[in-house]
Amino acid sequence: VSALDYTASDGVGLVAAIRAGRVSAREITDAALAQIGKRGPTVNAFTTVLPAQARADANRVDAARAAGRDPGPLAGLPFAAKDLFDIAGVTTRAGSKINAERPPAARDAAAVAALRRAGAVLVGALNMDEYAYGFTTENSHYGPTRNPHDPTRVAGGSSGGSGAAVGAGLVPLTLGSDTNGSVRVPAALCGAFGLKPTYGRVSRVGTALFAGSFDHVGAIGRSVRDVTAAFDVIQGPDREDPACSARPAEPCLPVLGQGIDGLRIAVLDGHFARGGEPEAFAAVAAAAAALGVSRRATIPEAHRARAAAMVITACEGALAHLPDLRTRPGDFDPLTRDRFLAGALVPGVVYQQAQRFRAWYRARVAELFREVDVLLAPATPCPAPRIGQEKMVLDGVEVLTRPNLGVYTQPLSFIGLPVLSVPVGRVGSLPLGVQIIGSPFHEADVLRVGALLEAKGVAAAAVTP
Amino acid sequence: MAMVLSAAALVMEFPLPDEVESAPVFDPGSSRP
Repeated sequence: VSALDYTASDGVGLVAAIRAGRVSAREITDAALAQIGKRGPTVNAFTTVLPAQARADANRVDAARAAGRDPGPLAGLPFAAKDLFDIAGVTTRAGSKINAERPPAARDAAAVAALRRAGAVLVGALNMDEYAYGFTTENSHYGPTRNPHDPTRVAGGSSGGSGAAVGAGLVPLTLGSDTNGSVRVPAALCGAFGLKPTYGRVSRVGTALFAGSFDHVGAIGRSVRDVTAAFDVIQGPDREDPACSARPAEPCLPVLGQGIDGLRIAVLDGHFARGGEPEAFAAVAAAAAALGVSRRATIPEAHRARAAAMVITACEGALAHLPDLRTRPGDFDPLTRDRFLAGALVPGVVYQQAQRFRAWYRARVAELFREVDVLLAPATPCPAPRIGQEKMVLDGVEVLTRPNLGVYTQPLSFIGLPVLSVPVGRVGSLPLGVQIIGSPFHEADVLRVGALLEAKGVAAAAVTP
Repeated sequence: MAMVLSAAALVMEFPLPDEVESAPVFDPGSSRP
């Protein structure tokens, strides 16, 4: 298969070709490794590439098929994982210099293992903000990940390598994590689909946690069916993760084509309709028009939810790294260290009040979901800023660039809602994303809406190979 | 630090009803209180 064919197809399309015998898993893996060699140095998405392991896994898929055995629902699908997922035999650095001193992981993280069991081929680990604390992946230890559509601009973060790897056509599917927007922001800025499932829907076993009461495992892919296929494989209970729900898995791939009949959809206003560039709201309007949605809805106190999310994140993150902050602060990325230090100084009463607010806010949003099923909002307030850009002007106000990329994502992950970010087609312009938001454990609803937008051509991945 | 301080102020100034308690284990499916 040529590199052109490889980068033109989504992951599920490649799997179908492999399972039908039109191409081998080994050929697809070799195409992925070639594309990583071609575009990898520019975008700096990968921190580790595993060619020997990937080729061995691909050969096993081909051998299974040749022997008449089922090679798995994701047979031969090349994927990569953010460098906070354990990979057996590889040190999990979580974007840090400190963790690079640790021994290699003994086993794969639960989500990585699930994808590999399904036949997917792991090709490496991906760059990120140090300890997942950031929205830009301007990592001082391993270099910035560059936007595949404009290398002078950020890829978003903290799963920046995961977004850029898809946008540059290196792999069709990646794993990321999302605490405050870390799947949705890079997916939006890199022109990919990003699914952040409900909190507790996917096991986090074998991942380096950032802020435990927010951390979600998610997927970034080239199509709605790519992230759905991955989600169906990784979702479900895991007793080893105390936050993982006991609710049985609910496969979504079978319902993708059902359309949106019966779904009550509204566009979020208030906090989600101000403080961004007009093109961010135009993307939402385009999606709403395609769906025939004119209804508006308001989440009360969303701006305060963002503030409370910042407080809790800073405190939980600081606690996890307090020993290293005390003994070796110079080994942290300067951007990250200052955020953790701020968290370490927050009084306990503020943390507790933020958690009380969280319970109040969750109840208000639950009330809203009695009236609607799905909500729409921008993913980011603007397209990808320049690397190193400290400030930007939004809605006439100068603001800090880095924290404000999460202005629309933080109030949603704060209470664990499932969200799909879809790239809205903008010919000749940098990508933007629209968030499709559902009530807890209703991933199927948001994926159905995303699939319809994709079928209508409103949402489409942007790949610059 | 300024960002976290501003966020903390925003959280503390909100008049939450007295009966609201934080959930000891976060559960996105719960609608209480």
